[in-house]
Amino acid sequence: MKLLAMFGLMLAVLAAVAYLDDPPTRAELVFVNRSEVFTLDPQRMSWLQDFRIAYALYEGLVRWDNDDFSIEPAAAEWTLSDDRLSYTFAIRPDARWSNGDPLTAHDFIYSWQRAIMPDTAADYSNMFFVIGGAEEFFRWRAHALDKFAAANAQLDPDTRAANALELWGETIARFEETVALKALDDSTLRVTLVHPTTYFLDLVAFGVFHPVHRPTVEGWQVDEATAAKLREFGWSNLSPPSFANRRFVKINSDTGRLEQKHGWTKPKYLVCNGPYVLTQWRYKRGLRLERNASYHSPQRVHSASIECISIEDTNTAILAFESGQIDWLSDVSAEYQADMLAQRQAYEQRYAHQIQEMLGEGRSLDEALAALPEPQAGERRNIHVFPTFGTDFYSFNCRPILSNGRVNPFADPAVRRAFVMSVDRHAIVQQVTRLNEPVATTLIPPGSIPGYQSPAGLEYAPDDARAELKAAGWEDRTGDGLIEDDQGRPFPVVDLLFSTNTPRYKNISIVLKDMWQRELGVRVELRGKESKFFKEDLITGNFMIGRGRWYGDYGDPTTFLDLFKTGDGNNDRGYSNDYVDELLQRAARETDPQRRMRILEECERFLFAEEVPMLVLCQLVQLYMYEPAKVTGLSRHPRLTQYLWQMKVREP
Amino acid sequence: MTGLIVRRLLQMPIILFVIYTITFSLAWLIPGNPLENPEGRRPPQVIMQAMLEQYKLDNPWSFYWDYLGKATGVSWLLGEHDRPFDLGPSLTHQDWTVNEILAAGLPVSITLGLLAILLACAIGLTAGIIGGIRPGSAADLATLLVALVGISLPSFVIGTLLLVIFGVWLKVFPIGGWGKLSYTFLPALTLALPFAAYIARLTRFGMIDELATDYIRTARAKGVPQMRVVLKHALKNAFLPVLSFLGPAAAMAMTGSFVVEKVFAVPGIGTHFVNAVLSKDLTLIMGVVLVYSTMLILFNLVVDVLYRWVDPRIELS
Repeated sequence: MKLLAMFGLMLAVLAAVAYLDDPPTRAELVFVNRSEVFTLDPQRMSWLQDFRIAYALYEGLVRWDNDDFSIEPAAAEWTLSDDRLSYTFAIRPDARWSNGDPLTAHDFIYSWQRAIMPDTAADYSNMFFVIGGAEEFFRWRAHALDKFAAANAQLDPDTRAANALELWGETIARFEETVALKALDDSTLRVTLVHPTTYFLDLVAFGVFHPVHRPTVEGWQVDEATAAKLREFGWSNLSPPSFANRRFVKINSDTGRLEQKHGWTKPKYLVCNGPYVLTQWRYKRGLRLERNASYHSPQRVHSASIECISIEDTNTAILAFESGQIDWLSDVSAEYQADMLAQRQAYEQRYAHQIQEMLGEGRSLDEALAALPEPQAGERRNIHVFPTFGTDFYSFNCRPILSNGRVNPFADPAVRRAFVMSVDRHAIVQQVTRLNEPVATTLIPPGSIPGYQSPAGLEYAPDDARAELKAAGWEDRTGDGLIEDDQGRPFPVVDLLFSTNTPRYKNISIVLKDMWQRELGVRVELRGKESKFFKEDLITGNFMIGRGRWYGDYGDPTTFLDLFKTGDGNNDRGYSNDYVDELLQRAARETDPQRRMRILEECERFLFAEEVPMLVLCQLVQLYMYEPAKVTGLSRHPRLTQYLWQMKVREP
Repeated sequence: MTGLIVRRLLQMPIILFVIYTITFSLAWLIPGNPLENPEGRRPPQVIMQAMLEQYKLDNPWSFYWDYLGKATGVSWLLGEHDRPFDLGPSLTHQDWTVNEILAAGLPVSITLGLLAILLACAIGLTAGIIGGIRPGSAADLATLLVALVGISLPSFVIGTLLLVIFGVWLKVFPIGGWGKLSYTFLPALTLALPFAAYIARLTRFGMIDELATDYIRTARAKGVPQMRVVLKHALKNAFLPVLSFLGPAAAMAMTGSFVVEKVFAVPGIGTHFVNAVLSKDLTLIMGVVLVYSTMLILFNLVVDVLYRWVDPRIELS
């Protein structure tokens, strides 16, 4: 009896905590994002999966045309002044926020100000430094905050609070004064740049330049009458409520900083201006988007509802795809991915002739695949390789002295060249990663930036590699198969650092070790570390050769080449070269777009034909799964910014 | 009994404080910076410094006391903070507070854990009784085999197998996610199997011992039907070892299994334990540990009280 009572009790508890939701109706498009979304605040984003949702929720002034790499108007048309310094954006009169408020030039100024302020901690704040006065303002604010904290530490709380508010007022005034952003009227925005920047519109199309709705972000608590005014004129004509009446921001009186809470990105609060609104967002479960009724161009939006579900485990995600629960799987990184690709190849080979014919008629590869018969056992057509705007490489530590105090042999470019020329990249992509990524000798993926011609880097040439080493004073003098310098000291054991979070880098590192030991007669020691430890070693320069990868952000070579600037925050190699710095500066000042590209080409040539601060292996690829007969609207633009509103699922 | 409950409740804050201190010290030693994107570009130094200060990550001492005050509600009582039991924003997913994350994940893990324990009892007791009645029979060997498989096969293998069979081939259950009852069955079963195997073994041995005792023989001599002998008389005593196993088992099942949650994409707490540590999400680590420690302490208390209620011979000190 008592046992039964206990089970009854457990059942009762179970019922009490039962958390079984209603069955969700399937959205028109269901996909699994690359990873969990971190934030829906566009200014604070830095992950691809976040931006993917941002482009569905928000709309910038302009956007990328995914088919031909060009820029097209989104929320605004633009004109450029003759001196190429000022852009004037005319915002569409029918552009509105999802709550009905008009979209104005002030929304953009506010959002960009958020990104430039050190307080917001935007990863991309320095992208805004092309705007006149932005960098000065950023530095001024950072300095003012430092001074504030020091000067106010001894004061009583009330005085501190008053001083903090005063500094805030001064900051706003300073911003208006120094930063070259002007609302000529409510629907016209003028932006003046520091110097002509050919890729400025490309930046503006990037997610961090998308607008946010100030009353939402700050959590304005307003009465009905004010809300009505907001709906008619927007917030710019109203004086904002006091900080006590703003739910999500406050001024910290100890530091003087504006502190922002991020709760406004939840469906309950979020107001946006893009093709979709957010109707559900649940941590580690996914989010749901529905058509935004206030969006100005509903004909652009192909699916009425989109569901992005979280499945962390890639095997489960593939099974869910196979069972039809998911239309598009945006990241496949299973151990058997290469075997899946082989099945795809088998399918393509069987129909090679028909595919060629259809491609000749101008059909896309997906259309051709969709028109073919179903794959047989051991074949598939639902896995797809997409090249990305990113590159896989190994960094050489270029500092003269290693972190352990020893002399660094890789400070010598000749040694670096030898190490690069002794690596057979084709063997790596064919036999190690087995993904057949496009091999690369330079960092910028060839063909990914219009108007830019990638120079040639160093190819596989083991004989030349040995000659380089010999010329640099390293050769086998004792006949033991290992190289020594002219005083007979052996080449230091090469410390090869990689992260162990994926098997990819372990496998590549093992092969690299083998190639270098065999071709050059050096000893290589592998050091695999968990990613946090790995990163720490990378930043502090505790490595000789370390694995790395880089994805570009905007359509200009500097998104890659800035990595080599002396002292750049992402320059893990500790690389510094006057000629490179000078070329980058010259490019920044050059007003002629063509001449500028030539300068940058020379910069990359010098870097990868002579200096090689890194061993570039290949362009990174992304594997997608979708049925070509069902899913349309995915772009092959290397930046892989898939606009969700362009995608459509049709039942075959 | 009341004395026991009061004593345990009084001990609780001390235990929690020790757990908090130890967890914090260990978590702080994890290298790296939770605010940084591990792959990709790094924000300017000034910004990183500002963020570290905002989240009190620049000084372990101030983080330790600040978090303790907010989490326990002391800061709220002193009027320094606007709400009690605030576990802070997650440091890696800053749009979410730890309270929101736990509120979303806990019910899922608890539901799944309880379902798994119920399933484990149902399967384990049945198998144990069948085996215990006729030790050495074919039925006994069959349950032994199942138990062996349940204990030795790792749950990611069982889980994936179940997904392939019931999700992809038969299409009777959905793959991954959480929602209707149909979403809960496969993960609950996967989670239940090892527990069921233990319960089956415990029940079987208990049953064999009990069925050999004098009082059972007496009952049989009196003509009590077999069904009644087994279920009413023998099981009652054979179940006691199972009950003592159920306490920790239920706790284990409800704290969420990282593997099961990952394989079935269940949005529970188990994955947070691991992911929070990997990404050094201090607030989430501390929040999850504090909430779970509290739950475990209370849960152990409940089990002890229940135990005594079922078998009044047991003395609890």
